[in-house]
Amino acid sequence: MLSVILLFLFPVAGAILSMMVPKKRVTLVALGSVTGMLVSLIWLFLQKPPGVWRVLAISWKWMSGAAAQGVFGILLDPLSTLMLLIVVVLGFLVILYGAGYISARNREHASEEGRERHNFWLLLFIAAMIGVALSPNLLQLFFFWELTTLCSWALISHYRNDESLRAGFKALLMTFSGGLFFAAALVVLYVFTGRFDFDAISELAPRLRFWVFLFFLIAAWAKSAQFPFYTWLPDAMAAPTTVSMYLHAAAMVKAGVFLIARLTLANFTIPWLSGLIVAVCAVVTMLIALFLFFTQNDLKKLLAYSTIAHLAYVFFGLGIAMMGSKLGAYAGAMHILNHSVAKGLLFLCVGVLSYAAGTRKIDELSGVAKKCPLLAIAFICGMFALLGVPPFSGFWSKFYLLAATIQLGGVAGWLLLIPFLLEIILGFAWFLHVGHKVFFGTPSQRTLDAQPVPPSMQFALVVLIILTLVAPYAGLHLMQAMGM
Amino acid sequence: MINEQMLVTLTMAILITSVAAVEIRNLRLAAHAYLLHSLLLCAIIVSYAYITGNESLYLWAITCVLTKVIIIPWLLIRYSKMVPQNEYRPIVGFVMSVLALTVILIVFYKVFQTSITLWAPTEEAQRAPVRNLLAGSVTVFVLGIWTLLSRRDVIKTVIGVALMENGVHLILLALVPQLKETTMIGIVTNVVAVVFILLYLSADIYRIFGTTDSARLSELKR
Amino acid sequence: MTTDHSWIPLILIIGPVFGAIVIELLAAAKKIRAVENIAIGFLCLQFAISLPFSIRIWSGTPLLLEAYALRIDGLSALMGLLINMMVLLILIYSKRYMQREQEHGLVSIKRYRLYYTLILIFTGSMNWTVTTNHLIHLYVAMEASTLATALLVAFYRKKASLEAGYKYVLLVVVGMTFSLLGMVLIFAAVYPHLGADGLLLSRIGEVVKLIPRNIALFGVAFMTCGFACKAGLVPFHAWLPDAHSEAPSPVSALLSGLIIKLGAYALTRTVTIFAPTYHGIVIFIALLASASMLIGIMMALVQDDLKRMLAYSSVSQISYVFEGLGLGTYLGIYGGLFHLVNHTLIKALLFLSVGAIMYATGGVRRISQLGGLGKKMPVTAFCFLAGALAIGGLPPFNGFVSKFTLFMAIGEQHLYWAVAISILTGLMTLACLVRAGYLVFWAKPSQDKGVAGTPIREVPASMYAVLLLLAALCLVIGLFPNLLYPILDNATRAVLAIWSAGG
Repeated sequence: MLSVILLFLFPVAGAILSMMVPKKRVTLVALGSVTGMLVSLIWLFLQKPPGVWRVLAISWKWMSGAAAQGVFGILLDPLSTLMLLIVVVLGFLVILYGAGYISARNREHASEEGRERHNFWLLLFIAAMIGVALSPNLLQLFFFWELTTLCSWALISHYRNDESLRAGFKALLMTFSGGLFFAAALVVLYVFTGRFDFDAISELAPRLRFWVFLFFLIAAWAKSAQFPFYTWLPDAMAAPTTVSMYLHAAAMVKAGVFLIARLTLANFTIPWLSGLIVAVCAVVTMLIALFLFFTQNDLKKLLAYSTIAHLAYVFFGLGIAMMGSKLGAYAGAMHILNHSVAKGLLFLCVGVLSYAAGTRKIDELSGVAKKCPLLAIAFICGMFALLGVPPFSGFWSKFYLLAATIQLGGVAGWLLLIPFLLEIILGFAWFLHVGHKVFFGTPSQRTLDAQPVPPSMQFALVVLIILTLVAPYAGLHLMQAMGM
Repeated sequence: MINEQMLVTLTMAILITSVAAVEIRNLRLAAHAYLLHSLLLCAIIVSYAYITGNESLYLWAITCVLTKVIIIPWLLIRYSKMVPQNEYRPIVGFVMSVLALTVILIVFYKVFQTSITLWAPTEEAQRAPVRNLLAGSVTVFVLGIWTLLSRRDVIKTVIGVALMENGVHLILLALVPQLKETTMIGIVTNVVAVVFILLYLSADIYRIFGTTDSARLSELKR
Repeated sequence: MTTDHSWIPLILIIGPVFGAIVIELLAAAKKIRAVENIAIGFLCLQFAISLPFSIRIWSGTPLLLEAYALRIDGLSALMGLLINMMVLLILIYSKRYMQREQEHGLVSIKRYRLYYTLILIFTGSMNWTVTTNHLIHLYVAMEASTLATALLVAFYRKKASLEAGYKYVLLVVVGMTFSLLGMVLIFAAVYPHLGADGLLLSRIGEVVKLIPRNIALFGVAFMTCGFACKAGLVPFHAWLPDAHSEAPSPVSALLSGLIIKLGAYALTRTVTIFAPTYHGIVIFIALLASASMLIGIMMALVQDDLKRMLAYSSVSQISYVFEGLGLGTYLGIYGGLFHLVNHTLIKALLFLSVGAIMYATGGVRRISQLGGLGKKMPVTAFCFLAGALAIGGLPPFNGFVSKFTLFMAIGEQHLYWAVAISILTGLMTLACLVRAGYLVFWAKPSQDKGVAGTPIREVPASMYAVLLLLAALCLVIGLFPNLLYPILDNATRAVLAIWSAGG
């Protein structure tokens, strides 16, 4: 109990402190608070050894006039543990990495200005994501969901030039309008059932259930940058790389899929048609992202489109589950973890490139492997994890996704399988091409000029390389606890 | 001495004077027409006081003489000396305006007189003299609105608001003549009207803008 | 229900007027410099009085002063507390703001003291409005507040401000005449049942079902139009943007924060009583409010003048309040009052932030002429954006909680189209205000004209302290909405108690 509260309070306290302490101490405060958070997580897991899962509920009355039931509480089950792992471990790494990245030595954005702002919003965001992960009901989830929108807006606008301001505004408007659909769905849910619980949807009449679910789905699509709301994510790459990695690959965009996973796993009563809509839109998103791969010269944008495609994998799995093959939901949920680790690693590699060489353009980089072997190893591990080369993490979830689709069978199953396979194969080929181009061959001028990278950033890379190998075991374990 | 017929006659007279106050182009004359209108209003109050035996209504009548017959027309006449003699050209032409006014007069009076049961709360109010007075007072109220909509001159605007106010007073009188509270309401609202008009005319809009055309006051419309 | 006899309501009304007299006397004795402190002192006193008596009322007993037809229940206590607190904050802010206006020669020394006199008289009239239990006194008090603020709107005596004052006073007085007609009709229908007591607001509820249907609907329609005019709903909004933009900034905050709320208050006292009996009223108000909130925010989107933009946003936000109050259900009234309180805080914060911008730049308020102020005025930037996010309804700010409550209240009545419109308006509000914040604080200012070359500094501490306090209140209420629950619950119950008296 105490450990969970500490887990939440450490980043909040860190955020508030980092606005108050002198500028020299900002990094120290941030590191202290994330370390405290990590320790609390470990303490929590020691208290509740894996396998013993139960709901801890502290119900705190919040909006007494409007919603009679207690709103804020804690729900710790395998799915929230999965999110918690992503949020806390990657949060720790990103703050550590950011301590080296946001500095005057950075070749792309050589400025320490705004470090306290960066840490404030990032720590607040970590707290908000912990709130999302532990939500026992939809209202708490919504509250923290919108808080992450707010943090995302502030962090995208971090550099305060025209490009980043516009990107931040766009992201705010798109995710906020999605959030309003969430609000509408909550209103309908509460009017008809009087509850905000995840399984309340089952009580609705089937037609209404479809519409309410569709509203939640729109909110999730906007948050997770799926078709037709995917355009804000590539623009959001104007943010510092730490933000792109943590918010726009690992944690925030996962909130959308997390919501749908929650709803799917709490009620397997969602109409078949909704499942079909989810799966078809996921396939459409994958194909759009795939076509846009080929036009990208900016490594970060390429990764952003890959994120869109991989979030579509998760949606795909959930859609398959709603259509009847439960395995899809578990595979999708597992992919949340695997993708976060792999994509996080890749983003950090790109961050290292812009720190050391000052560019992230594919055509300005080549032969990096000779100059920085650690970076090359990290990038290749991340890429293999992403593309699903065994024994790296991505392989396991992709394997189960394919298995679930085949298990579903029928016309719909096979029709969905073909474009899914197409995207996997073509994406694989293109990433191999890009990786080869950037890391091998004769070094370009930019590469030769590269400067050494601080140890905090290198440490983050090493940890993530290990995680790409370890993550699937944690994921599998959690899925089994969930009932796979 | 005071009978139903007389009340109906007074109602008709008050309607005619309000039309005059609205339609007369010469501002001083219009102000005088309004004076006459107010005088008739006071006469109606006095006759009600006599009929119902509610003596507090005399008090209201006295206040009415003070405010509506003396102060407001005095303010209007004083103001009209500072501005051109004729009102600023209204939005609607003279013939059209008279026609429209006649239509309003007849339609509203007829409609409210015939459908009185729809909106008069008591039996008493649905009988002959009150019935006519109610229809007349609603018509005065509507005339006030019409004035506000069709006129651009400041003085005419003031007359419009005053007519609306008087319409409400007449309705009040017709519906609840027997209570002391009616007097209180009447007196208090009289005072409000006077303060408003004082404020509205005191700021020398003519001297600052060089016009009394309220439609010209549109610098803020962008 | 037991009641208490008390003189406190009268003190609340007379106190500020007495303060105004003191200021005028001092001015006659040539002690001009002391006026702002006197005014602030009086308001502190008022606030100090209203705080403990509010707490007493929350224990459940209304205070009565029958000789003057004054009655304070939970709703009056809420409004009274809000009014006195906001006027106090705005006066503290005004101190430096008006001093600067006077030093720059925009305001003569004589009119400088008139400012405080008028604000005190206006506070008295507002306190009267919310404490009176008399139908006609309600009308008179609202008119008094209109007339006092009209002089404040026209305060600069420039052409534009005079024109705004004229429009304001004319339109609102005409609108209030409509509501007077409605009140007279209702009184006429009520007196056969209650006699002279029919004028008491707290007793009308007993006989709502006995009033003939037509009279009730006529009366309510007239009153709604009148109060909508006072509150500036579309299509009665013509006065609002002019008056808000031409008045001195602290007065804009008063207008938007308190004056237009009086319309909502009067609506709660009169029209809401009828809503449970006649469903048509609910639909009528919902239609009016939905149209108004949508049109208001659309107009706000195209404005270049910051204050006009905020004014139009007020049009749309007060519609939320009307929509909630018009529902006549517990949740609706609760949400409406909650949003009323929140909007007062947020809009005061926004108007005062714009006031700070004008203070720092020498009166520039066009978005196209401003830019890049974020670095020079970080506190103002923070406060403005906090207000923008709050009014857009983003957690963890207070706007979210009240709007969400309203959505649920409207949804509960199955008016889903109205929910959809309110939600859409929320999105547009956020877009409109955050965009303005970007352009003013971070975009590069245009070079040829505007503020590119002038030196700009943060406003003095007494001004930004008020901003920070308001921003902090927005955040705290957003995080812990249950802090306000007992107050709002009591106010809502006070409204419900009136109409449920009829059974």
